[in-house]
Order: sequence, then structure tokens, then C-alpha cells
Amino acid sequence: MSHLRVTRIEDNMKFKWGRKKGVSKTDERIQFYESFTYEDVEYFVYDCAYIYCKGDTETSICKLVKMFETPTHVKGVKVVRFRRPIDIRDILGNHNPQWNELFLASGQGVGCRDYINPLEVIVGKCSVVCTSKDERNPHASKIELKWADYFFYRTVDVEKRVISEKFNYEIDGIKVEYFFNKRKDPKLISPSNLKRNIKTEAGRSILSSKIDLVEKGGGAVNTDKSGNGVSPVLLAESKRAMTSMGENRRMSNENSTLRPKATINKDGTEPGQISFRQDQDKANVRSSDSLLPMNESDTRPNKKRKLLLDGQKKVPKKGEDIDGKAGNASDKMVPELAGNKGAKTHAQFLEVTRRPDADRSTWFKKLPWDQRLQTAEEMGTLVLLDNLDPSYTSLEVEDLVWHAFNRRVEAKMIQQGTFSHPHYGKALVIFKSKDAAEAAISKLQSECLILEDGRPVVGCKGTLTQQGEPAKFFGHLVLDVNKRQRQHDEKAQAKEMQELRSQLKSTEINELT
Amino acid sequence: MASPSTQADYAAFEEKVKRTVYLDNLSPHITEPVVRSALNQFGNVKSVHFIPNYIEPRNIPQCALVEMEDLMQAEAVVSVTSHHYFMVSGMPRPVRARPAEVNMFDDRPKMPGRTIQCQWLDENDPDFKVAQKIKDLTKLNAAQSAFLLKQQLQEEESLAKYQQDILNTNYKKHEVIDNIMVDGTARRLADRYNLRCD
Repeated sequence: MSHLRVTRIEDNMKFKWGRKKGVSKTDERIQFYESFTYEDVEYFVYDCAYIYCKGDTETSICKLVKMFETPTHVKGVKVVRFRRPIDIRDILGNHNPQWNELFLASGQGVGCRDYINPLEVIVGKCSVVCTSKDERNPHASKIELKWADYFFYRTVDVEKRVISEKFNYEIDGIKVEYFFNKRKDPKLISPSNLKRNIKTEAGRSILSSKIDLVEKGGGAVNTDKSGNGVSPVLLAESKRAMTSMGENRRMSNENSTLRPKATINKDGTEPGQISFRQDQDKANVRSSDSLLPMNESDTRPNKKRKLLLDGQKKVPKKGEDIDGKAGNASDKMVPELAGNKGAKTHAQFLEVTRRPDADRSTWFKKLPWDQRLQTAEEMGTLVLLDNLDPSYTSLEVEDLVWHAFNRRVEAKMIQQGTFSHPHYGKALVIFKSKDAAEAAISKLQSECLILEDGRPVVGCKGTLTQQGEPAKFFGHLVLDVNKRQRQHDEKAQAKEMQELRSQLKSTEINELT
Repeated sequence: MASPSTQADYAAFEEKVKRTVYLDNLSPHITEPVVRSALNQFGNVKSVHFIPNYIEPRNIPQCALVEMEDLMQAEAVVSVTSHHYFMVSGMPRPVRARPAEVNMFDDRPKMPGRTIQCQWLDENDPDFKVAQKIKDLTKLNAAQSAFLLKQQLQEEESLAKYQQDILNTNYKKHEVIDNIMVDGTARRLADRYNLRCD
């Protein structure tokens, strides 16, 4: 996470103060400003920005409340933080906030990070709209709501652990009106601004490498469909963020469910970027949602192209979708489109029904599943199927293999836990013979078995982790208990010895005297 | 196409899922009776099922699915463990609990009313290349997640080692103090300096 490692000199070049506002009452040498420009983005007082401090799991959003520079050339910005729902989930309890809802943090306990050094932590601008029904708050229009990245209408007092919709007269010394929407509102964030900001964020994100990856994948799709006049529209959009998004949207239409790193819920993910992106994805769901109704109503392949065009046109205007895959909403788009695909390709979809004599397999008593797995792995008949729909059951997988390969197998879906991907399922399949297994694997690799929502099934040789001795468990701290026991005994013994000695001494003395 | 019996089965299964809690970060030494007694404070534990680890690396903690008697008890388990550290069997690593999901059960009944479709793609099909790319991406993703998991385990290991070192040194300090108390050195020194020593 090193995107903010700029040197001092460069800092000063990229940073520029705006208009002066006055001097501090307490110390006349501290100069207040109305705005500053950092890396080509101008931040005004009472703007909202993303802040990332090293060690956090994701960016925070805060309102810039005061900007100043001390006589020692230390730049500072006072901020009031917004809390994301995930930060305060303990206090939330049963409330169900929306994904782009924030909570204004009031009260003490916000931490000593209210003063920040903008060079180190500011990542980008953010638009937050206040939808509170307080009479001092001008009502936000629908457009503003749509364009805003986040909205808030409640405050949270971290110390008292209370959420309330009431706003006090002032928060942290700043009049509460400044937290509400601006009255005149000339500063509606323009699309160009948003796009610029988004580009800078995208540039910073380490996951931009993912864009390259996906672009390459999407490139194939692009060439395929270029003959249909889609690309001129795309080429017109020369911004990198937009094209990658457009390709991804189309590619994701074909397979929306593959999302490397976009929404990994595992704990194994690196904190920092990934949850940041997750949040972005969720914030984008709203934009994609509005595209849905259009797509769902249509099922013909030609119209599909047109819809894609419209979808892309719409998104540049919004400028919200950043990089990588479209949000989870595109999942819903896909089933209809895949159905179209089926009609386009001349092959028929094989419907997977219960395979014949499925019940016969229960006639013979079988070894327990673990043992069967072990023997299968030894014999080489174990295959691991990946990229299945996670809601499949073991029996469905068996039927699937029967229909696809015409072979009877035993299958079991791997249970999803902390470490499995929530969007695709894996299954372990035991074939009857090694040849059958290998033939199936090679067939899966050379040809593509597509499931109903456009996923290709991936197969590979199954390898199990060694069972047996209990694994090492980190976090189990032990003291050498035996040592303790011995100590205890020794202590007891020593005490006894002492008593004896003292007794002996007294008797000796008695004898001597 | 969904027969009423399968629907009833599925409904019963879903209800069971709601009552089940998914425990994580369990030590491999923990056994079923331990879990049962640990969660009995929340209510009646109906069954405990450990999830076998087939394809993940060796060192990840164990997970279990615990079925409680009713929904409120399951929710209570989840909320209490999320607010307070819950240690099972004296392990310093707290146990996590989540409400269970359908996909966590491998013996789940079929979702009624759903048919699966599959299709072999032709080589000449324009989407063939895309599908191949997607397959590669899947494999890449699997490799990446495995790598990340490995990294995380390494971090856990170093943290555990660090904590163990601290624990050992603290224990040694205590031992030293204890020893001098036991064999009277402390008392004798105290007498010499005219200090109290308990």
C-alpha cells in the first residue's frame, strides 16, 4: 500500500494553497485558508474527502472543516469524520443501513486524528449529501442524491454508543449548518470533476493491474463484436476508465460471476485495497440497479447490443463506475442474456435431469466418504470442479457430470466456509476409473462446458490436504505446564526442608545447651 | 415441476439453516462435547458438525456448524460473540460466529423449481475464446487466493510466535520472583534492609 509515498519536494509542488481566509485568533501566525489544491484537485472548506491512514482497512470519509498552515510550514486540516456502517456495526444493532449511507461522528472519542496532514492522507474528493429532514437542512434534489457517493441523515455518538437523527447546534465547534447541504449549491460536482477524481483514485489503486488483466480478456469480446458497429461508440470514449469499464461490462455480461478479488469476502484478503473496492462496488450497485429494468425487459440478441450501448452511454454520464467489474447487480442481468446466447449458438442446452438409475447407487453399502476420497486420490480418480454455482447440491453435480460426460460418478460439493469464494462453488468428484477422470479433465480443458448462467466449468486434478495429525494452530499459547507442576512440587519440598532444618536447629540448640 | 414434498423439505431445511450458527477459528483440538458445553449457556445445542477441510492448507483453524434449538438462541450466540471475546477451551484465540448459510451444508436438499442446464461449446463459437479466458482467470484467482491465504497464515504464525515469546519471558520473570520468595532470599534481604516483604 505505497501509493502515497511521495517525496517532500514533490509534495510541495503538487500542493498549493488557495485563497486566504484569515488568521487564527489564538496564534496570529497560523494562517487559515479557504481551499487548497493537491494533485490537481481543489478541496474547499466543508468539502468531503476520502482519507486513508496507514494501517486502516479502508478509507475514511470526512468533512474538511478548517485548513491552516502553521508558521513552521506544517500544513494541517481539521476534519470531522463520517463513520461507515461497518465501523459502527456494534452500535447499529438491528438497523439496516444502506451501503452508501454514512453516519456523522459526533461527541468525543473520535480519536486524535481530527487534524490531518493533507499530503499524507487525502486520497480524493467525495460527495456526501445530507438527507436529514431537519428544517435547517435544504432538501437534496433527486439528481444530487443520484450523483452523490454517499448520503447521511443520522449521527452517531461513538462514546455514548447512540445513533440519533437529531443534530445539535454545533458539532465539534462547527455550526451544524455547514454539515447540511449548501443552500445556494453552486458547487454541484460536475461529471468532468468526478471523472478526474475517479481516474486519480483508479490510478492509485494497486488493483489497476486487474484492469489490464480484464482488458485483455475483454479485448477478445471487443473484436468479436466490432463488426456490429459497437466499437465506434466505445472508441469515442477515450478515457481509460470508461473503456475498461465498458469492456468489462460486456464481458461480465457473459460471465458476471467471475470476479477475481473484486468481492472476496475471505479473511485472507489483504486489508486495504480490497475492502475499499468492495465498498466502491457496493456504492455502484445503485447506478447499475437503474440499468437493470431496461435490460430485463428484453430478450432478443440484437436488442442486447443496443442495450449495452445504452448502458455504456449512461454510465459515462454518471461517471461512478470505476474499474474492474460492474457491481453485483450485473449478476441479475446475466441470466436473460445467457439465454439469448443459447439461442445464438446453434447448440442446444442440455437440460440436466435426474440421471437414470440414480437410486441404484444406494443399494450397496459404501465406505465413508473420507475414505473414499483418500482412495480416489491415490488412484487418480479424483477431480476438482471449480466455478460452479455455489447453490448447487451434490446430487445436481452428479447429474451434471452424467449429462456432460455420460459417466456415473460420486460428487460432493465442498461446504462454503470462511475461506471459500462466495460466488463460485467447488465440488469433489470421484470417477470410476483413472482414465475416465483424466479424459474428463482434458475435455474440460480443451472444450468449454458452459452452465446456464454462462460460467465455464473448470476441472483439475483433485488433491487433498493431508488429514491426520492435528494441524498447527496459531494463537494457542502454552506454558510448559509440566514445568509448572515440577515447580509446585519443588516448592512444597523446599518448604518441608526448611521446616525440618529449623526444627533440627532448635533441637540441636536445645541439646547443646 | 417442484413437488410439494421437495418444497416442504427445502422449507424445513431453510428453517434449520436459520437456526444454525457457523463457528470459526476453532482449535483443531476442540471436540464436539467441548463445543456443546461451550454453547449450552445460550440454550439447547441440537447438533454439532465439524466441517472437514479437504482442499485448504493444513494450518487453518477448524470450523463447525452448530444447530441450536431455535432462532433466538442462534441470534444470541452470534451477537454475544461479536461483542465479547469468546474463548473455547481456554484458547487465547477468540472464536467467531456467524449465522449459517445454505451453502455451508453439503447435504442440502435440492432447491425446488430449479433446473440446471449445461452446454458444450463449439470451437467455432465466438464465445469459445472468452470461455477459455474465463477459465484461465478462474485458475488464476484460485492461485491468488491460495497465495494470500498462505501469506495471512504466515503473519498469524509470526504474531503467535511473538506473543509466545512475550509470554515465556513474563513467565520466567514470575518464576524468578517466586523462587526468591520461596527459598527465603527475599525475606532475608528484607530483614537486612528493614523492609516489609510479603
